[in-house]
Amino acid sequence: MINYRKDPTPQYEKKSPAIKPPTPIKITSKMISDLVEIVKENKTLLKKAGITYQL
Amino acid sequence: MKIFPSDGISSKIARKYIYLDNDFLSQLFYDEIVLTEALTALKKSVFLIDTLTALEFLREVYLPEQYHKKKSFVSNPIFAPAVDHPDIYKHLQENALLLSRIYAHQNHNTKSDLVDLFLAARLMYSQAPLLITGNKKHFPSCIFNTLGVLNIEQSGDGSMRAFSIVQFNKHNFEQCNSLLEHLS
Repeated sequence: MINYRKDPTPQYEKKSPAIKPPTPIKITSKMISDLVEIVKENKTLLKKAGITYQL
Repeated sequence: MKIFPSDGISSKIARKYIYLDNDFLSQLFYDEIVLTEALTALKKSVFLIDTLTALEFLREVYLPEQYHKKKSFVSNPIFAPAVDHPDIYKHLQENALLLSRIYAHQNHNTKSDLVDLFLAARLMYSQAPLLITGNKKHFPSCIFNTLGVLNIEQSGDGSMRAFSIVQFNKHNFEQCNSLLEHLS
């Protein structure tokens, strides 16, 4: 078997500072409104450029 | 556009790390109402973006202004970059290869691309994080559990697109892996 990871301790729980997980942050309404602004600006930009955005 | 989360989804994912697949990230970037509703519904969790997902999100964007906007979007502090370390990639490559062999053996013709395999390998490596994806078939049920679904009504035809929240199931993986090992 390929040693996918026998040690059950997640790597991010080990002490190497380089492999620490990102610190959780509190999501604020300011963060969301910043993103909303970008999305709206992008819509306007695509409309001006005549690009139909396909998901 | 509107979102319809499955029951109890917020509590199931509270305080958990959750990777965002490119299709979900693109859906957030597409519409501000979906963005606001989805982030509000999932805000108790920590959003992670894998380097490869960020690359997928930004690839082939040729308009400089749009590239800048997408880059600003994905760089918002809401989306934490996943740990990027050479030691991890060594494990991820092994995991991705093994998962692809298990998928094939289990007859899951998922056609998972390399980014999906690496995301699946990430989930397998850390085991606790979740993933939200619109392509559940790329994360087959023989290995991954579905914890909940976020349905998003699409503009235009009003169809509903389902985004699944999945988690690596170690027990199922070990069973599948054992069956694979018995071939040799």
